Amino acid sequence: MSETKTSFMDKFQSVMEKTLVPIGMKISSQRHLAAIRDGLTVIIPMTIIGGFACLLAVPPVPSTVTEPSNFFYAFLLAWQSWANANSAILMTPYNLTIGIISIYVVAGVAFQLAKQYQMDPINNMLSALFVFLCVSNAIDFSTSSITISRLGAGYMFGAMIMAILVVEINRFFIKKNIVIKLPATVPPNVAAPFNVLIPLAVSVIGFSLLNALCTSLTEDGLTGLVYQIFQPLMSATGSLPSILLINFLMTTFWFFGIHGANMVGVVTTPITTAALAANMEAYIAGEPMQYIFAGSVNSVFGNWITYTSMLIVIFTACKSAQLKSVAKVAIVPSIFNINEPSIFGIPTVLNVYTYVPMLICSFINFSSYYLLASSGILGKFFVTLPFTVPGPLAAFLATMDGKTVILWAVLFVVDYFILRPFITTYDKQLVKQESEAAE
Amino acid sequence: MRKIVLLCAAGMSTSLLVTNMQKAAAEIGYETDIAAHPLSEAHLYCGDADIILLGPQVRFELPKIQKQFPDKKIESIEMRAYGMMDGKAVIDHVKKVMGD
Repeated sequence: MSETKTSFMDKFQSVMEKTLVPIGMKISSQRHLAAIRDGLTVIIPMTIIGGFACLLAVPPVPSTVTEPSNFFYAFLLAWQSWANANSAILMTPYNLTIGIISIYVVAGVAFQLAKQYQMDPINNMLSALFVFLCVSNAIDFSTSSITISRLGAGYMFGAMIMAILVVEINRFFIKKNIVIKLPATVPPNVAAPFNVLIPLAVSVIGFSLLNALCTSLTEDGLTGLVYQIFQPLMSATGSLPSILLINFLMTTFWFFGIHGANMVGVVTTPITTAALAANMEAYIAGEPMQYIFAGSVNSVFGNWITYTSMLIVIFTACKSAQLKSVAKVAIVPSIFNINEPSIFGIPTVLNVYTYVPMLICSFINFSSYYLLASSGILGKFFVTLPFTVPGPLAAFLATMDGKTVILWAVLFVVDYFILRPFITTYDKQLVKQESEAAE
Repeated sequence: MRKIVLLCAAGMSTSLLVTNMQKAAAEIGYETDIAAHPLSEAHLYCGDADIILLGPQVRFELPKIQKQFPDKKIESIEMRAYGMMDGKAVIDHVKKVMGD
């Protein structure tokens, strides 16, 4: 029985190693996807500050709370009236970050892509920003007004695409050597900006014409059209089966000792970032949030719970010296969502005893949250946090819903009981090996 | 004096190892300057490194980093040593590679 099981696992392992792993590596190192991921990573600090400013400005006061009947309600109502009085100041950091997130996105993505091509990042970043503003339909000089919403979350995908196209056009012209040539005596710092002059003119004229055409046809312009195209993709990726597939892939990459989140992130980061910003816009407008697959939700309600729970299993039920010594090293980082000590120390790499229960746990964890959030019982994620914020706190801060902490605690216990039989079996093997080695 | 740069996805988990490596190096009087950084900032910090070590979870990035720094010694950290945050094992490995 156990022999057939191992041979199946061996086969599975070798098939995965030959197919899935190289595909994943190729996708994650694909230039444009990597530039989008890295470009969105650099704007995280801005979105964290914007998110917390928004929380301060719009306190999570349930509509049923109208009287300061206890200390907590009194606190909430006092906070609300303070926030209302200072709303303009408090909302400024939000408005200037997540409110116009597309500007940061176009700059970040263009910079990262130019860096990958070893082209001048600043020139490319400014070119992309300029062209994006040309096609955004956000600024109307005839009335001296800016339509802020046209620079918000909905147009992020347009910003990513424009950044890539502008840098590619610059690159094409420089590669074909269609640039303004200055005499060799001109210092390179002076000459560099002239390199982008011709391609930039081509981009501005070309995309402006294209945008005028789109605007006359759809009234929403080029970036709006891109949004229409990406909208179904966003909803499809946010469905339960596709998130479970994503989590399966992440756990499987980690099974091979490869950074799963980094692999899958090139595809998911743009979607979860856009969804998070859209949820936050809804929160401020007082409308229901649309997206469950937003921010770090599939890590907070995914295997982050399982890794920490696994260490508790080791502390309470395991005897082998190896597991006990790893658990001591791993527990503190694990609380802050850094699980590499467990991954390479227990190890969970190429370890069927951990892989199987981790898959089960990640499915149960995420499905539970998904079903409760989609039925409106739990809040959805709308605040960006540093990834090292411990799980229960992250769940609470990102959703402003205390009930998510209860679910987190329940899942922590559920994971414990799922993991326990697998981990103790593995532990017995290790104990046997250790005693054999000691003889 | 050996300058050692560790790289991983966010520079977080490798930074745990840095302290242990510094301790291990101090014990044997091996002079080092050790730091951990995210992969995406490799170009900022690896220029004057004697050796670059990758966390095993990002070992697939090795060819890319090698292309960026063709003349440098680049190694991926052994998984077990990484998991146990075993600074001594990693320092021993560095010494072997560098021939110190």
